[in-house]
Amino acid sequence: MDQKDLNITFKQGLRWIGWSFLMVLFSTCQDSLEEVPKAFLTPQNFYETAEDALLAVNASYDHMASGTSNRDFGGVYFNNYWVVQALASDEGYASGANNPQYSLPLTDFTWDANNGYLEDVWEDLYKTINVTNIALQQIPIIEMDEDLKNRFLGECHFIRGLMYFELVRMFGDVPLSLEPTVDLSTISISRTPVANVYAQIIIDLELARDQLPWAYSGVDMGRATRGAAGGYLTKVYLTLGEWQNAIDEANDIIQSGVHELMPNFGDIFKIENSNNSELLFSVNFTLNNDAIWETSQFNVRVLPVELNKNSLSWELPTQYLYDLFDPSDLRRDVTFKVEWTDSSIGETYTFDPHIFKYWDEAAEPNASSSSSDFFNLRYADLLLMKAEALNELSGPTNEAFELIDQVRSRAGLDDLDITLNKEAFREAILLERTKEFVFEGHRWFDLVRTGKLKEKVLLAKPSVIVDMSRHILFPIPQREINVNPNLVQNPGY
Amino acid sequence: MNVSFKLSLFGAIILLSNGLIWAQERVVSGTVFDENQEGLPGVNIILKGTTIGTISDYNGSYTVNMPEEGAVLVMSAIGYTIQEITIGARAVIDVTMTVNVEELEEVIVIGYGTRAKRDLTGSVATVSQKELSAIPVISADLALQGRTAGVTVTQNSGAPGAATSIKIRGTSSISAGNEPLYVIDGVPILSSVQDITTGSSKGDQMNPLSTINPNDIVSMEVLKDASAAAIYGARGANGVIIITTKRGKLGAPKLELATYQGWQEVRDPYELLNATQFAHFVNESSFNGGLGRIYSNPSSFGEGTDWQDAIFQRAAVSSYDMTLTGGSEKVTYGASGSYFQQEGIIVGSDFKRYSTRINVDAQITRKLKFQNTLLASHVRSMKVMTDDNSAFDGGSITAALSFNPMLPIKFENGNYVDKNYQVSDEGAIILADSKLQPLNGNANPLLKNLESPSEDRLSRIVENMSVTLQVSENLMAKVSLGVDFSTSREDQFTPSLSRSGGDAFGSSGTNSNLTRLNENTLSYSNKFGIHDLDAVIGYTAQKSELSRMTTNAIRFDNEMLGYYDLSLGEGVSLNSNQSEYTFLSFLGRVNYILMDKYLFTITARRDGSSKFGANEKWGFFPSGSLAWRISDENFIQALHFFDDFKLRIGYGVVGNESIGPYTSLSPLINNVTSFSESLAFGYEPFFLSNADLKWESTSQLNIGLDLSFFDARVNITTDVYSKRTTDLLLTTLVPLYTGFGSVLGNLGDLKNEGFEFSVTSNNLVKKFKWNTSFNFSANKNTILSLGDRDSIPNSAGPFTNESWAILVEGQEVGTFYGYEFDGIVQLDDNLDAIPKFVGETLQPGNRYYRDLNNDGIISADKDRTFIGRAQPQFTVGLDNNFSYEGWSLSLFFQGVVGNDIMNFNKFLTERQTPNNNISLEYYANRWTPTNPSNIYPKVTTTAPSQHVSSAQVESGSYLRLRSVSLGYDFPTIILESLKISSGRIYITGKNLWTLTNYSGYDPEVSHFGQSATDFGADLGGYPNSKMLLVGLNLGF
Repeated sequence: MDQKDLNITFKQGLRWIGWSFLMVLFSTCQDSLEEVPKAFLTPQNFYETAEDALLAVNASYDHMASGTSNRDFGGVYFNNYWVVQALASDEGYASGANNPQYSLPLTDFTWDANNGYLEDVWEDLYKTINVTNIALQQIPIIEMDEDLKNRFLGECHFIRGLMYFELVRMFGDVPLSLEPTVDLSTISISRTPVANVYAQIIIDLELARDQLPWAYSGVDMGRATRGAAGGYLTKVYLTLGEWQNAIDEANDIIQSGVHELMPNFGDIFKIENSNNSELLFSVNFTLNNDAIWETSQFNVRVLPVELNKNSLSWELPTQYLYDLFDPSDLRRDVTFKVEWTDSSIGETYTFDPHIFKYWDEAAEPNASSSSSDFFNLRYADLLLMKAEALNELSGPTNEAFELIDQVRSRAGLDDLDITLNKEAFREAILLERTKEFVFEGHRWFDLVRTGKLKEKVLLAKPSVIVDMSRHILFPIPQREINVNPNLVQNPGY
Repeated sequence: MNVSFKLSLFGAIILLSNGLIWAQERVVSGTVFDENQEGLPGVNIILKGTTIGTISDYNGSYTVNMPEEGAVLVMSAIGYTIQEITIGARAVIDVTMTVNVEELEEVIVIGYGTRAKRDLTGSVATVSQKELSAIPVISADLALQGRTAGVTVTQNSGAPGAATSIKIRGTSSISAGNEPLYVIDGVPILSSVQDITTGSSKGDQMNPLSTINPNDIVSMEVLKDASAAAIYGARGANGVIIITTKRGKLGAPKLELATYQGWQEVRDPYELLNATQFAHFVNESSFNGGLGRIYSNPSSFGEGTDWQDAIFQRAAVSSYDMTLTGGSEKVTYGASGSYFQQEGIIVGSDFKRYSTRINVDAQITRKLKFQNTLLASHVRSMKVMTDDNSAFDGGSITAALSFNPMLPIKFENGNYVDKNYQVSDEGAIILADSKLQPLNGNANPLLKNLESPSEDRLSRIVENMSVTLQVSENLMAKVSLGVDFSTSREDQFTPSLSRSGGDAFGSSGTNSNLTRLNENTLSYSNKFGIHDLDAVIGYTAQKSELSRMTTNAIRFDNEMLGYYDLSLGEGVSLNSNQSEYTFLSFLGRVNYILMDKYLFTITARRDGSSKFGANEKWGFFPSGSLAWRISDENFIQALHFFDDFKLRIGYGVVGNESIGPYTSLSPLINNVTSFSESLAFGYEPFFLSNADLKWESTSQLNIGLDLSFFDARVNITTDVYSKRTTDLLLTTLVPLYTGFGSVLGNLGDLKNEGFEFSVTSNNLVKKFKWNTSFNFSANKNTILSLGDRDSIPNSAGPFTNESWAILVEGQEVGTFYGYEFDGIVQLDDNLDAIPKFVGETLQPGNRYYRDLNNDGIISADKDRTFIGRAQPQFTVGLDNNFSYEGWSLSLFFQGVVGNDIMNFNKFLTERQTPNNNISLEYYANRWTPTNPSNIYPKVTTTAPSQHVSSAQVESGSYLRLRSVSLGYDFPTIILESLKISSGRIYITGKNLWTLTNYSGYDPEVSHFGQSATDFGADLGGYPNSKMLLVGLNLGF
């Protein structure tokens, strides 16, 4: 190799090094294989500010309401929850026009572990829990105003407590998860005994009660309050038979003076009275112009097809329920209708009793999608719960009569006969609940709690077979048992 | 040596050489002969070291004007050994070219290098330019059809420019894609339509490869086995297709013009009922449904409208290509410009491509070489939706099959008939406000095609620039920078009129995708003694960035401006997205040949992909193969028979990483709730993350044999292989109490086993030439495991809302699933004894299904079974070429055998109730009391609900004359009189003859495109066409 060749080789070598350098420059921007998405957020680049904390909390509410991000649309209180409560009781029946494979077995007490409505309720409850667990894990480490942080955490504790309360009542022992799911480490956990689940529910609801305000203003109205947490604590203690605790929690709310009965029963359900003072907690829906799935499903499901609107007669009240009402009971014609006149054409349609109380015809003439909220817990319920606890603790006291009569007098009914004994008073309370909370998602719970599921259902649906060893719990969805064999099915399924 | 001195020396040389060139000139002429002492045309003749040269004419004659001092002529031609002839004092030089030992010396591109075909140890197929240009196609992938064993090309749709589906050695993946990796001039390009377009417009999705002009391609190599594909590591599992574009050639500038003009027609339209027959059909249905006759005089309706005739057209196709090549020893260039346009055989659809290519190779110094490849194109296509997969819209084919033949195309007032109306006995159109509803929800197919434009525009640049340094005689370093950039825009507008009364709808989407690639390789090759070593190592980095935006609007106040002003609509919604991924690789390959007889290849690639889970970013893909050239052993040589006899065996592991970026992450999505009538947003994780998510792995064993005999006139290649894919990307169910329903994981296992055989034979080689190539391949696919699930049905199909194919262990991917059609209920059948669905009442003339578990009830979970297979059992290709003097004739047959088609069209064409028009085949053979058909049910107004069954499954086997072409090369006399160097005229027919039993338009169809689980369905697919074209090539 002569000098010239060497020289060229050397210079080429330099150029080669230059190219390599360029290459390194080119590749430095991509030497990492870590993914940093720009078009969406991940848990790694979120949960840093008070605004993020709010968004984390709101996500839980969405899963209780419309579940906009669900594969099946609809959160806990969108429809299946109250449909199950109504069908699996003396309160309602399904027309069979929608999902007959799920709705008819619920009506006639032949449901099994493959029931899609029950699976949806289970799924929605746990989705809400996971989202709440994320917020409860992430918010404490966010630097923000401590009062607001405590309120956020209080809302999350309330929601988680409420979700587990629904689960434990419907399914008994359930998997108890208090951490967000980030990997597959929890896919084979077992069911936690009912007592432990209740212990956690009480912890959550007490934390919520102590951290939440009595009320909100403006666009925060509709969030969980101290009254919501206290009201559900009342219901938890009532369900557990801890009467004095139930009375104490109820008193806390009654003495606050924050809540009261709406003077007129029908006004509770008016769109303009959303989040009224009778409501301890309601899940808000809206027919806001931009909203697509944030609307309430009551009207579309329960109003009669005869309206020729988008209403479908899917779930109807039993004739037995309708007949329980004295014609003088002001609640009857708010709750039901058997005929309706289309004022635009002056034609009148008649039909079997349908639920009309959720339809604010003046505000929403089109009778389908609606802004109507789901009324989880009303002050009337609190009064009746306290009356029930008082009766169970020490018989029908004057105070107990006074409580139930508040509810009756609003309905235009006379005061109860004060000679009623404990058992008769118990029956009177249950009857009052029957008429006060039609299609509000309480019925199967009330009948199971009072041990009267079989007795009452047979009155409304004489041909069904109710098994009190089996129908007091719903089955764990079969899908879950298939995926996790450690889950043991409830008796009878 | 200082710079100024170098410059002055350089100047001096130029001056000197110029002076010499101008000094004196002389003429050298002669004839070039082939091995049979016949004149050989097309030989490149260049004065060595210059650009001076010519090409031999049709008789092999040549004349070169050259400077006096010119010393050496270089003669080259494809298939012949290059010769250097020392001129000396001669003025006439006749040369006989010697044949290159046929194709054995052919150089094959194998990825990061080339290899002589005879030295291959893996399974690599090559498709030459001649084969590529035999059939005019929109995109190069279609040119592969039937050309190589083991490569199955399906034209999913006949729409111009629509995506195809290519499977190399079977279906290796269920959900991560089965399309091969495409590498164009060293750049792995994006070939997934999801990367190139937003997919927001109507109609068939565009084929990303349609942006590449097939005339720019000089060869395509298919890397089939793991040994060959392992150099592409985590992207090699579905095979690799390497596309090489034409580059410049040494010699004077040569301009070539090529054009063709063609006409296409639909191949085989359905025979549907005419208006009179339709009236009879309605009458009989009505009678059978217990109602009165509707039409008192059916024949008064005459023929009516042939809706297929209304939407099909004779469509023109034309192509114009201009290619310039040339170059000196220092710089060669190849450039082209082309325009291609094709009308669709359905009114309203078309495709246009404008493309250019500029390839430059420069030898900068003796040791430094620069290469540039630039391909740029713009494609625009008007698309029509032919299939009915949205309830409000309908497609033009399904609508043409459905539409009432009694209806005219337009009302008397000149407006299009918008809906599938019923017609009264008096012949009046019964409009929608009557109690009688339209037949079905489809809109007038012609109206849809003409008034609902959907337009895709796609621009693309593929660029690769490289510098190669010959470090020493044996060592070469190469650095390349590549870019694949594309940008698309897809618009569509559906006016309310063509939505059968629905709201007008418009959308617009734009997508841009930039892939940057840097590759750095060091290659070493050396021969010493009995050793021949060739090795390459490299480092590569690739980054792709995608950004897109789509917007749509519904309900327009003013529909005049269509998609050009979506703001006139209500409910305008906007979506934007961005994603990127990175790919880093280290690769290496060693080829070693001992004594020219024992060949070894070891390849390995370590790939890192950002797409996979945090714990599984890097994968290692090794392979090894060896070959034994038995023909060089004495005992074979003693036979004096084989020119080549080589046994190959190879094994390796390759991967499939075709999943989207961020799949392993847990994206937060926003949800929305409300408080006090005011919307409130929230954020939550949408998926469960999976840090262990990784690529699918395919291990493959390949054993092959290469044979060559009769003076290398017959060449045989045959391979057997066994592929096993593990870690299949599948979603697995997780308990709902986790807050999630499923997670994408690596589970499942499948295998493909197959056999390939191909032979090329030069049957006649004298003046009359005849050569034949034939290939055959068979593949068997078997699902071995689906993780924790026994079976995975596909998503529900149209019409019945039942899934129609299923993944089951032990079966193939693409196994059709449904009821077994068992016959038609006859008059004397005992109705109680025939199995029925719960709640179903059967009557004579209705279909019934086989009760597989004999419980007397037909149920979805117990009585469905495997009723067909989407994958062919074998494929064949047969090509024959004849030539005599200037004439040439080629006949190319291609076929697939053993696959079935799930023909959803039958839910329309064999519908029992008069909700749409039906086929004459069905109506003529329907069940009636006097025609007790056991195949076709009766017509009626209340039929049992329809189910996916073997009644919709048909054989998809076909054999077709893919192309026949007759060409004529101009003789010297004409060439000289026209002052051109070459000329050819030809006429080609495409798909002129097809042998198939399939009842639909064409057996080559896949409604759901490339999806592995939904393959092989027909539903109003855009039919393939037959085509006739004439072409002219001229060289200057």
